[in-house]
Amino acid sequence: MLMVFCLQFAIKATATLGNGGSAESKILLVSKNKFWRQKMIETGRLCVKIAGRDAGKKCVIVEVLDKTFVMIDGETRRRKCNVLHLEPLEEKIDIKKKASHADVKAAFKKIGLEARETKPKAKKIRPRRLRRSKLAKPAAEPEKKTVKKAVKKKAKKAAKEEKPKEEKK
Amino acid sequence: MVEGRKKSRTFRRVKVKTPGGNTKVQYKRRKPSKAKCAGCKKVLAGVPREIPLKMKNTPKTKKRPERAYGGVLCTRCARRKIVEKTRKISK
Repeated sequence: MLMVFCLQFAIKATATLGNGGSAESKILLVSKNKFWRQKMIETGRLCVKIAGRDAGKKCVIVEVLDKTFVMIDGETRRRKCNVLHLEPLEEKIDIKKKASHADVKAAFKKIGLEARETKPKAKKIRPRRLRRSKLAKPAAEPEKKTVKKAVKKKAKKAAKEEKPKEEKK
Repeated sequence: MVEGRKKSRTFRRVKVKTPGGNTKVQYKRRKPSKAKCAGCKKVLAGVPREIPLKMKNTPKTKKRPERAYGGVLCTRCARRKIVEKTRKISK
C-alpha cells in the first residue's frame, strides 16, 4: 500500500512540475508589446495610470516591488500598483529608489507637473440644532435651583430661628 | 373608463395593495433606458436607472463611477482611450 501511495505522490509531483514548466514557457512567450512594457518598468519611469479613480493621471515609479507590482507617486496617490494598470512613457525622472513624496514633488515641479497633496481636513464645528424640549430645559433648570435653594434657605432659617427659641425656652 | 392618456402604454401599471385590502392600479412614469458605453454599447455598471426626479436628488458621486470617462465609457474603452491619448502626446 505504502508503495502505491508513494508512486501516486511521485506521479502527482511530476504532473505539477510539468504544469509549472509549461506556465513558465508561456510567460516567456508573451507578446513583444508586453515584453517591452516589462523592460520599461524601472524606478524613475514616468507613467500614466489607466485604471481606477486616478486613471489618466501621471505618476512616477518609486520602487519595483516584484514582477507585477510597483510603488507609484505623483499626481496620483502614493500607492502599490499593478504593472498592467500603468502605461509607461518615454520620459524618465532622476529619483532615488524609495524616494520620499517631497523628492517626487520637487522632481515633478521641474517638469511642470504638480504632485498630489493630501491635506487632512480641518474639523468644522457645526452649529447643531437642539430639540425644543432640550432648549427649554436649560432655561428652566436654573429657576428651579433658585427656587429650591430659596426654599432650603427658608427652611434652614426657620429651623435656626426655631432652635434658639426652643433653647431659650 | 380611465382617462385617455392612461389607456396608452406610456405609463406603466403598478398594482398596489390598499390599506383596505383591495388592489388598485397606479399609473407611473416608465424608467429611462439603461446607460450604455459610448464605445462598445455595453450596459454600464455603477450607473443607476432612475426617473429624472429621483436622479436630481441623488448625489453626483452615486450617479457614475469616479473615474476618467466614468458614466460615459466602460472600463475597457476608457483604458484604450487613455492609452491612445498618451501615445499620441508622447509621439
